[in-house]
Amino acid sequence: MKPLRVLFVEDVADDATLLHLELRRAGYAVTAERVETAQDMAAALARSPWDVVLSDYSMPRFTAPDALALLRSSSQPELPFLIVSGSIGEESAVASLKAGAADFVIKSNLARLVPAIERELGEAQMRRERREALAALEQAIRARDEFLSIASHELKTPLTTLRLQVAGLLRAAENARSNLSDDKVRSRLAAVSRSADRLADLVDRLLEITRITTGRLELDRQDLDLCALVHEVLTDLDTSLRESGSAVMLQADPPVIGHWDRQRIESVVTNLLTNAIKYGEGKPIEIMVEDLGPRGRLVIIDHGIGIAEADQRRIFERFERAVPERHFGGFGIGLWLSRQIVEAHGGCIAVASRPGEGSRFAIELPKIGVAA
Amino acid sequence: MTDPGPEIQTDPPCTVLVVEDDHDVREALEEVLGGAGYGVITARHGAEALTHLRSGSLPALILLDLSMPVMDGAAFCAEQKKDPRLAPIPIIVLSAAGALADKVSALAVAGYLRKPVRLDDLLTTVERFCSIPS
Repeated sequence: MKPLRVLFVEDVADDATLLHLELRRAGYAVTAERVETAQDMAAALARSPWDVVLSDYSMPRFTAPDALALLRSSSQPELPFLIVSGSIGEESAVASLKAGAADFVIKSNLARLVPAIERELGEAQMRRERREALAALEQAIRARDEFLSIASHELKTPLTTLRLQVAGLLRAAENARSNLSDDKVRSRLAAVSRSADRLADLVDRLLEITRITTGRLELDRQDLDLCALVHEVLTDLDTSLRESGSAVMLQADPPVIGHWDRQRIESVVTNLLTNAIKYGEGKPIEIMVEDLGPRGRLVIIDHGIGIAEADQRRIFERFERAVPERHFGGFGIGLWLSRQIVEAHGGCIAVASRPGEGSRFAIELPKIGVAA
Repeated sequence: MTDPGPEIQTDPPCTVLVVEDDHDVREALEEVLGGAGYGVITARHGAEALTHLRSGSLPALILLDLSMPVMDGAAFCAEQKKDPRLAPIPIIVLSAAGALADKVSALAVAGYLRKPVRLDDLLTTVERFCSIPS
């Protein structure tokens, strides 16, 4: 039995019962309510969702055109509305159909009722699907626009450093009285070089995102020690670690070797560690690299702001982040990228977290291709 | 970017407070402003800037980023306006945010510059609020 929720707009209880029976015979499990005034109809529409409205044409205190108008201004404006009535004359019938009634069934020929309802339900379903597809498309466009705006914001930060440092150094070089020490010049050129690296990284990430979304991610596998890699990333992040005040407790001793894409796994480790630093509130960060036999595992634990349960699945999605963008830099896409890369290796990534207590991220990577 | 604001007591006379969360940008601003003869103090976010302002002498100008952790630029502006001692210090917003004109108009600041800012534009703007005795 297919469930069907019918709102009858009908003053004669027996007529409604007749329609009810007709629908039951056709295999519908009918849930129905009968109303005969505008007030009751409005209340019924506000109270619960319906699949179809079957309305008599003229009733002592209500008419089908009024009922239709009421439906269209209700919270369920797209419900199929069929008129089931005695003969009402051509003009009224045409006027009703023009006003948006889906069909007109004469009570003396109820054989048309079920096919008419089925056709209308099908069309309502199609309208719903179209609306949902449109909404999904609009959401995707919004997400892309937001991503572009975040991406341009991110690109402008290292560009600012580049512009100011280069123009400042140029100015100093042109000024005969300038007494910039060699050390100063060196440290400022180092900032220039860092900014150029950051720009290159950002562009790489943009390209990587494009590669993944178009299904063109190809791994460049080689023998790789996860422990050594974690040490390297820690060295790279030394400055931001020191600025954050977070101490690192590291367990990464015997090599854990697998057949992995060095550059991509490095970006995953960098992303997870950067997050731990960013959201870790200066508290200690624990890092463990473990050998699980056929797999290698990396666990990174911070004791910072944590992630609400509702956000924990979302953060691995594209263009999602649990905290507002304005508070923390980045594309808001790092964890999505990490997940794509880990999964491309046949591995998995997981998070466990409690707001206010911190987060534990773990990745597991099959070692495939490495002799035991 | 017109009203340089009322005269305020500062020491040294031409100090700029740079409020910026990005390490490299902060350092670049410090270098170029310092190189142009300004005194520069820095803060990594709004809360740190308030601590500086409430414990030390007042700068002639504040260069303010908008998106920062802990306390962002907008929240900093609100706090600054509430403190009668700090309220007169002019603020120039320096940000990469989109629709910047709309964002800063709500903040009632003295002006704004877009990242990536040109050094000349930066120095011209700063000079209007804070001139170096030659």
